[in-house]
Amino acid sequence: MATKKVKKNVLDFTMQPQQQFAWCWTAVGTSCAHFYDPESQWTQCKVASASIEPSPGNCCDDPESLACDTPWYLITTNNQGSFVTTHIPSSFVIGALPVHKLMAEIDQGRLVAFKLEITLEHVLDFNIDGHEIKIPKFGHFVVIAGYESSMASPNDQNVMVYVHDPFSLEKGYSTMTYEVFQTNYKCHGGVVADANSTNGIDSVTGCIVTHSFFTSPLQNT
Amino acid sequence: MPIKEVFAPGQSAELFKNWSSKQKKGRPRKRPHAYEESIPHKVFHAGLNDIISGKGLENAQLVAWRHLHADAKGNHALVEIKIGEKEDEHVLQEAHFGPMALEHKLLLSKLKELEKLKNEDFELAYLRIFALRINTIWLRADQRENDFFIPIAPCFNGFVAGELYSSPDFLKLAQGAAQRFYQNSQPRSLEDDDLKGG
Repeated sequence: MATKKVKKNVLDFTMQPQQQFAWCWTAVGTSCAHFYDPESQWTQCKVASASIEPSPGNCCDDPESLACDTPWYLITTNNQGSFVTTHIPSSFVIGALPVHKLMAEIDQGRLVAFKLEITLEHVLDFNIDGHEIKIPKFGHFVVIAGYESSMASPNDQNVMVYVHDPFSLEKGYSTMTYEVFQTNYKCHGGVVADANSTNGIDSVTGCIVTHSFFTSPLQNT
Repeated sequence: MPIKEVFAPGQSAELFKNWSSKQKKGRPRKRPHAYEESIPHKVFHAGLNDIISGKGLENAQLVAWRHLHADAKGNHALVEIKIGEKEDEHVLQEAHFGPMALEHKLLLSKLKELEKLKNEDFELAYLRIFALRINTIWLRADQRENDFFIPIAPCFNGFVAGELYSSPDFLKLAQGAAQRFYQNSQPRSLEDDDLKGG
């Protein structure tokens, strides 16, 4: 009788919970730095201080300031971001990595980070001090540090990925199919009731991976 | 203050039972989980506009059921089974592993000791407002204004993890979180904003 062969590779990675509202990017950068260098002295506030431009000052003294507690990058084409600050060699591609490439990265002992984008079908209407503002989307970073596949032909539906989110589940991780991760992370397929909408619902139609970030062991530490 | 025993729909419970069986070697589990084993509870998502406008959580959407899993080695997980397009459709979404899963289980015994909760029965649920970085236990009373909340770490914008909040206090802080969300959403420049995240 044929038996299923499980291929599983889970890296010993711990994601720090983000310490400020908008610090997923520095939590990911700091956590990845500690993975590649257990002696790393980077902290989230130090990474924030060194990464944000223009300089926000010392984010360890005033982490809640708007200058410090702000969305930022892992890496950009202009070499900005927490991966740059922490000397993690990195590059990115648009969209989600094909599953076999993701597995190959994990097999090489390399973490893969992702940017998720949540897009609201009906834009958010804020009324702040009489000013009406519309916000169409927001971004969030997570890391995949493992996978499990029990099929001879891995695909997005039959590979489980180990997702580390700096916001959810302090010191924990979530498992889900790679397909769910790519298209439905924390959105559950999408309706958030809003009585103000014309049809009574405010559909969260987009919860997708927009970018994949390769990482490698540190350089110039 | 008893926590009302609420049972997940049969298909959700069955999917959880099947998932649990796959976590160990041996024969698949036949016996359904007792309430105290899996502590099934609803997962809600809330709309930002309702928070901002002050309408509260009347329109919060039931999106999934969660079930608590524990193995013989003491590992715990919270298994989330989403509700599909149709009300009777259930699909395994994800499983959460980590200290939080056990803390959820331990929380129930702690709730019974809280004076503020002794006058009413509550349904245990979970509320997620991703944009506002809010994950919270939601103790649902018969009336929304009598609800209580216990935020889960990490917490921001005045919320303290593990603290008990009344409904008015929770919603007030949530509105503050919405204000911070708006402030953080203002672009500094047009370059590379697609690569930003928080």
